[in-house]
Amino acid sequence: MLYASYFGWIGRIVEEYSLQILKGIGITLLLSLVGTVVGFIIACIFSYIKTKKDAGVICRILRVFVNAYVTVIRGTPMMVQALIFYYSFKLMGINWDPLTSGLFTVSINTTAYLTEVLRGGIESVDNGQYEAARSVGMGSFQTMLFVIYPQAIKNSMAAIGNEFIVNIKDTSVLNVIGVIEVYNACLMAGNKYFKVVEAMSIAAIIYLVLTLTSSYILKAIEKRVGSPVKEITSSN
Amino acid sequence: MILSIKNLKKDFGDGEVLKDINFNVEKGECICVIGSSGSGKSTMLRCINLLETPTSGEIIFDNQNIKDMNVNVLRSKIGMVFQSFNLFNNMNVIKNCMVGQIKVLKRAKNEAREIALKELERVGMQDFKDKDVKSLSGGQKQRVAIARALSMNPEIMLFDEPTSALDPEMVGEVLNVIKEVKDTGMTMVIVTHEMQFARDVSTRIVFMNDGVILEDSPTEEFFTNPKNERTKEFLKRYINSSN
Ligand SMILES: Nc1ncnc2c1ncn2[C@@H]1O[C@H](COP(=O)(O)OP(=O)(O)O)[C@@H](O)[C@H]1O
Ligand SMILES: [Mg+2]
Repeated sequence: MLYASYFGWIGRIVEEYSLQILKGIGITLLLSLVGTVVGFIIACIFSYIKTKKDAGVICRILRVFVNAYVTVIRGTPMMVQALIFYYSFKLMGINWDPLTSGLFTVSINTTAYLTEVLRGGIESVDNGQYEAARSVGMGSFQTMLFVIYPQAIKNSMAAIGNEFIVNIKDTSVLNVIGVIEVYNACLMAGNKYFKVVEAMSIAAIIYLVLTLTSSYILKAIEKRVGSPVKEITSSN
Repeated sequence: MILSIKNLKKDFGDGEVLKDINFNVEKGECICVIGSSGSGKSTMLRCINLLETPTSGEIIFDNQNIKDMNVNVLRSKIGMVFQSFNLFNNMNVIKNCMVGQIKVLKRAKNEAREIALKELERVGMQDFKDKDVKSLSGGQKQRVAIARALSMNPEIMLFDEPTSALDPEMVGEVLNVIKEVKDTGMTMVIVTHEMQFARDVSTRIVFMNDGVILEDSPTEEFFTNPKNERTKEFLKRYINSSN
């Protein structure tokens, strides 16, 4: 019986490796969460550098760096980045474990995407908001901090949440440096009995449950924070 | 003299928008700037608080060349009211009136709240203090924007077509508030197309055309005895259109 053996094997693998698989789920969530949070924080700084008006010399030099960073990271696969970071740091004498290296990679990667997300969010805020804040005497940084970013982040909530969900799935590539997240944990479990399809079915279901739950929670958060505001654009 | 503009020129790169603007504002004066669209009224106003950088010329505010002043200090002393209100969308009504006081003037929260409440009362918006700005009508938004500017205790207020984005039935409430502010002795420069209002409220009219000031006269003289041909034409058009 093909079906009986398919589900039978799934049951057996889950039973035997539940601890490892649960640990894998924890690692996947850790990577996605840390990556998105750290990426978001750095992206706040990078998007400021990218969008600052009347940028001085230092800001413009930093902007060249940020632009190059975003282009390179978004233009190369995270798997390749993971391998380069993991081994080049080792060659430089930094002996880090796969998980730390994985956290580093996913943070670096998410930073690039969220920098662009936030830049879009900032540009979607009406320029009149900026001018009004500057007109009461707020400096450029105060204006960004108290007026523009709160609105830009709100406008970007859906995209930031989406980045978290993408991270849940895409951190599977970190198996190449030996991180044991959901995919790798399931694969290792299945390998014992040469049952790849069964193992990957388990992985698929776990990913589906994780992404659907996350998307449900994120939607609820989005609803609470409120939908983006459309402003009348200024004509003067 | 609180404000003096000398030989002000502004060029955005494709021709001069302001060509040699000269005029002075005395303390307590209320000046209305009129002129057809594209004549450079907004640009002139925006040069005063350095939202635009003049190409050449001098602007003296409080006996100081604004070029030598800290731009944020300068702006904190000049209240600006925009055509499109530009209330901070991420703050409620009273926070809109407090944030500048706290972050720029470094006032304590309680003091800032008291002043904000007082100014909101002045514009008749105190009952809306905890409301989201998105829930307000255009006229209410503009009144809050005026309160926000007044909360900074500016030395001069600049209005750039404060009623042009409003539905007709809301123009009156905003003009009344501006009149009341004027009656407290506030120095004001108002760009407006509301001729009757300009006549009622201003002490002087500045008429701009194509980047130059064609006429700068006391209000009654401007309306009863305009000197310039273009002014006469402009006024005729206004009288015709309002009949
Ligand atoms: N930021 C800008 N860049 C280029 N041209 C501008 C800019 N702002 C205004 N202008 C031009 O300057 C002229 C005067 O504009 P403006 O001061 O807004 O006139 P008004 O307020 O009297 O209608 C217009 O021709 C307008 O197109
Ligand atoms: Mg204008």
